[in-house]
Amino acid sequence: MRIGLIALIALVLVTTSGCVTSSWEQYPHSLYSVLKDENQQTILAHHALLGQLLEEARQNGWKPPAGIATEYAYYSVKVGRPELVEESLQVELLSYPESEAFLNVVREFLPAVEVVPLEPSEGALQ
Amino acid sequence: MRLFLVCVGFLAAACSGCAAPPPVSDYQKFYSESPFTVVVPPVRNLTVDAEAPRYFISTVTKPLVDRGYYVIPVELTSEILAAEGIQDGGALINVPPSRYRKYFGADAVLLITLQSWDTTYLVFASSVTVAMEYKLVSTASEEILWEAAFSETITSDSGSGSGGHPLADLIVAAISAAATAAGTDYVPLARKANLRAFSTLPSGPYNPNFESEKAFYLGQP
Repeated sequence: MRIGLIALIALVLVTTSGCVTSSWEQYPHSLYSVLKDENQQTILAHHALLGQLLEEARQNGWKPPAGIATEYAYYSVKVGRPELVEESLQVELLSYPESEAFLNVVREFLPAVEVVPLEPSEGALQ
Repeated sequence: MRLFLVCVGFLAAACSGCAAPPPVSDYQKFYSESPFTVVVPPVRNLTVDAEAPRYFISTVTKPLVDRGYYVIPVELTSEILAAEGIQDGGALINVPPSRYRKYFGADAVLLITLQSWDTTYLVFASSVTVAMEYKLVSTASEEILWEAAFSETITSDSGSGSGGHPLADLIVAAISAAATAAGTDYVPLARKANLRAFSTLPSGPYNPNFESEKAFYLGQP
């Protein structure tokens, strides 16, 4: 009985830890998709994944992976959501104080980043 | 007896060929420089595949962050450098490491040279190889703090065929080898090579093993 309970707890822990890290495991694949073919779809998917990583970290009281909040700010500009920038840069600074110098460069650079244009939907008049 | 001596000599030669220099030559210097905020500029490309550096760079961040380092986002790094007029890894040779401290506030720059990202065909077989050289350079002293070179290869052997028609078998085997190579994705190989390479890099401060590893390498009790 006791062994069965321990095995069950171990199984739950293993399963849960797998879920917790799944977004981070997806990160290189998502970034690769953007770098291979940068379009609205891949950028939106990557932006969503970065947002999910930040949300998971917030809910669990963890630091997000290094650099992720800054990358989220960058892609927020690209997808036309500049209102998300300052909060995510603050998350990066609070989580990683050593990023301060870099974040100053990012703040200067982000206004020059262009929004990815919306692709015309299928069937739209040309 | 003579054969024994020849075998011993052969083994000694083979082992000396395998021995690589330690990836960190001076741990005292490594830890005193604290190269833990790392910028990874675009990769220097020595291969014929113009797209390879862009694909490869997507494989670097995660294993390095998992090692405990603060890694400046690679895509943002490329964009900022491009805005400064530096578009590719070849142009980076002339950038002094100290400039990365000024641009990015980085303690170190990880310079990567892509040496191989290609397929070799040998009629019945194909061999896909990725090979990289890594150098972690201090942006303060401009000295190399860690260096490594790793490669990964997948070889597919289509066999010589046994259909009773030697020429037809040869063609089928060659097509099969080419198709296998064409379907092989280089990126997972690059990920494996990075994992092996960064496993030789001392843990950074966000890795739970940082303090114990540091004490070990510095010979502290």
